[in-house]
Amino acid sequence: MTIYPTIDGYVSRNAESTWADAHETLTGDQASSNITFSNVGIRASLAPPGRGGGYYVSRCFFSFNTTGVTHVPKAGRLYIYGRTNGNINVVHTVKATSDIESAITTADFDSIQDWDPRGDFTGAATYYGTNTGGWSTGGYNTIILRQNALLDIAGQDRLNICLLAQRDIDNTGGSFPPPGSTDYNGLYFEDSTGTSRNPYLDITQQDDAVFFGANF
Amino acid sequence: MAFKDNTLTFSDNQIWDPVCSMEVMMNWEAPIMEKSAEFICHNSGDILEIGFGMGICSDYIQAQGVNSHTIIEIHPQILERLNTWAIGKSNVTVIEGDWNSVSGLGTYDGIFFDTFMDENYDNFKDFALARIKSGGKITYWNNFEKEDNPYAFDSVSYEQVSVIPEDNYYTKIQSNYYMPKVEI
Repeated sequence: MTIYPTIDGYVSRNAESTWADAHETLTGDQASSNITFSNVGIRASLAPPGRGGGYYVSRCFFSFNTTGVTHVPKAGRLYIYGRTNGNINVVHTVKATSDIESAITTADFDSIQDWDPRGDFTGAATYYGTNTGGWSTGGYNTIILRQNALLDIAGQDRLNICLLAQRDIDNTGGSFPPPGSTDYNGLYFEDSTGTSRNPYLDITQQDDAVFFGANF
Repeated sequence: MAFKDNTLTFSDNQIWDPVCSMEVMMNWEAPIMEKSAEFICHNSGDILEIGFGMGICSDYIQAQGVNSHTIIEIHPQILERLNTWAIGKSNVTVIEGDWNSVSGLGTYDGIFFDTFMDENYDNFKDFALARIKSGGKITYWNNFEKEDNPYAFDSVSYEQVSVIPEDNYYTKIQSNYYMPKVEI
């Protein structure tokens, strides 16, 4: 079963003079859910001093209607079509809150379930899965969803996902600011023309139960 | 990808970099450029401007009637506009390339450093101190609405310049620009 998002987009915080101001803040500077792609949608970077300098964070959000899935699937994969690869090879998916379901605004910068911006990789959010094999451009990146995501697919009407950079989620005590200016990845959203680059969820349902009965 | 490789878009009020998804320069900066030009052109001497952008500061430097005006620009699209702008300006020298590696530079009474996403920034202090004359003045773009000395000059003072920024993604300046002033 293929499910396309009902809404997707990004929220970013830009040109901050400190990592904490960029990463630990509650709201973003820009947001859009009516965009075909972003070159810097997933981002945790430090641009050099001068024009455009400072810390940047960008997170992407996706909401999928999963009401048609009533049993825990056998497997689930999130497919994201890459556009640019700055220097982030590891992208994480975490559970987003229901705040993103109707619109994605600057207020959704922290719409991440159990979000702790000073937490470590496993303690900062509800972890759904990670891409493997780097971030490809001009093709789909596959993120295999973990069991807790599969349970949410079956148990909730929607699966809400946030994509964010490794450096954005693994930040114990706020002590791991990004070192480079090119730490960002680009991707396509649902509003891109056609479906060939749209993000989507691929659900493999459990085989139908077979009852081997007998006449009694 | 380096900034010079990005294909920029130009409009009346800004230069946009679609790869970085942000403006490179906007015309609301005019008051900043005017003050910066006044500062470095203190004796109407020899001026080095690094980064042409929209040419706003270059116009203000020209208005100061300086002896010489050397401009370094790395981006090919901006360079094309710079070369057009320079036609008929006998005191202007255009140098194409990266300020960190170009040749043919002299010494200057004023230097304005205003580049975009510049990874060579660590070298700017030594570069500037090697090329500024005694009594010369240096300023640089300050992207934050506060005092900021990222190049580690020994002494910097700041002059506030009131601005009314248009919506943008490249700076957090809200209403006051802190113009850095390095006086040798």
